[in-house]
Amino acid sequence: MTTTSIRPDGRQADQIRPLEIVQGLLHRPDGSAQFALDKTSTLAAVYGPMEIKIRDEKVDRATIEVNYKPLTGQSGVRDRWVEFNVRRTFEGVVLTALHPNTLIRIELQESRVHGSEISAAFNAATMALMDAGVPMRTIVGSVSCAIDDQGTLLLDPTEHEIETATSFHIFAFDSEMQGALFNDSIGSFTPEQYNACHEICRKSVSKIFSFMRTAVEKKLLTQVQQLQKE
Amino acid sequence: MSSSAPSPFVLSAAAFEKIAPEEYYKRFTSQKIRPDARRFPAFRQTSVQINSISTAYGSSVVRQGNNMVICGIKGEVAEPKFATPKQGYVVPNLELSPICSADFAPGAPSELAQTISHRLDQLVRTGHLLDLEQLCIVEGAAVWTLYVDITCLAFDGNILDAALLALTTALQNTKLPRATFHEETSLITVEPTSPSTQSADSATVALTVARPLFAASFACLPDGVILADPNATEEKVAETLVSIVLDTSGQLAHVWSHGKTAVANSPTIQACIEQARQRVSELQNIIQLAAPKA
Repeated sequence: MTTTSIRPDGRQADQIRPLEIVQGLLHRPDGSAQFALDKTSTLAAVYGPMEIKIRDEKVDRATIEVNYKPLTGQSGVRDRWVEFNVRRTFEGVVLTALHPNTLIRIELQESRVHGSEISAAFNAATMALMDAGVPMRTIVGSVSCAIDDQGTLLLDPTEHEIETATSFHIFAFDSEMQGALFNDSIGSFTPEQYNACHEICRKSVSKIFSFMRTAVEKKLLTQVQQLQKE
Repeated sequence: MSSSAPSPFVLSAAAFEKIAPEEYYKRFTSQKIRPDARRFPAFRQTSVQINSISTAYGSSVVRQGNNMVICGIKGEVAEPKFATPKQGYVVPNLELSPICSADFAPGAPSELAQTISHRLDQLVRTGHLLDLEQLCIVEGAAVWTLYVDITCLAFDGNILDAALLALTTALQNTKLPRATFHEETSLITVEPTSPSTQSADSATVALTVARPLFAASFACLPDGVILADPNATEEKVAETLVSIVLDTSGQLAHVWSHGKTAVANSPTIQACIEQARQRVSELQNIIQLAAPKA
């Protein structure tokens, strides 16, 4: 791999930005998390299982509701599209059958926008659900990638890299990392490029998962230490 | 007498489908057939009708099985953005009103309708379906905004395929009235036209669609079965839904997979892309049949 070019921010083509996870930073929700990819950051809050309006009630499982709020401006069709995809993905991941007739609400708020926000939203939602103790079949990790006009794959692209790209791909995987739970690719690309994007995202999502693991371990460790002090 | 009476424990097929839809579908798929008598890779019968709305700049009606969508294009003169002084706007909007299915409630557009509208918008801009610079009237001063309104009259699943086909064919048959810019007053006048006089009238500009895009969607069931062109019931029992959008040269414009299980791995997507290729050539034939005779 000698062809990897250095990007404006000094990263290699197949390098993700520095990650940051903070869990439990909000007091009122049942679970919350902030997930940051350097200058991109999304805040997630989870409520539930809680009471549900009769109209939305399902007798055999919990209903999942997702709200996505942009950093600036009114929410529009793009935000409904994010909500649709996050909801579809977590409906298959959360063990909804354990809490019939209830509502699980996932609130997502962009807090800094610098490219690949949707991936940050998926990851933040996973961490917030974990913080809330909502039972899940697996955890979800997401990575995006773009292909520039030279045909170079750029992992975890910034806003500028996405704007100038010929195609943009979002993938979300479960912890088995066999295939994508969710994928959204747009632009102009060949099946070979698509497979290459799938592969590079699949490989790098393990870094997201191990970082999630470290974050949870650290949080638990500090909790144990606090208990020991008392 | 008692032997001829039907047992009260026998379920009717309709009740079985309601109670256990997944199991109901499995009975069919194990026999390599679908409840509506289609084979797995078969798309529903599709037809396109061009420019049947006389008041629009361009229009199309798409029927795909029990789906029916109607698309009309109207234009307005607007000011371009400072960063893109030559580019016009295309505003696609899909309406899924309660008229087309009981799944949709009156009021604000449903999540699905907004999701698909966003998708169409992305395909026009990021997917380069249309060269937006041909909507320029005067650079930096006036451009066309095209409102692409797609209304669903009957909904039976796989709305993306039908909506994109309606959008592509309507844009391909859109003729814009000639707009003139008056420098002294910096006003734009648009010559009134009606499509009935369009063919003879030279005072119109036909749009060219740079990259016609066609969608093919699939439903993946638990046991590796891939159903092409799922209807509303099939979308509900599906584990994962996959949509592929291709241009006429076979280049991908969009891949969308979402669902419960990670069946949308590369081999599945590969199979879907292959089927989508065939579907695109099939759709091109359908469009050719619908094209107005010169």
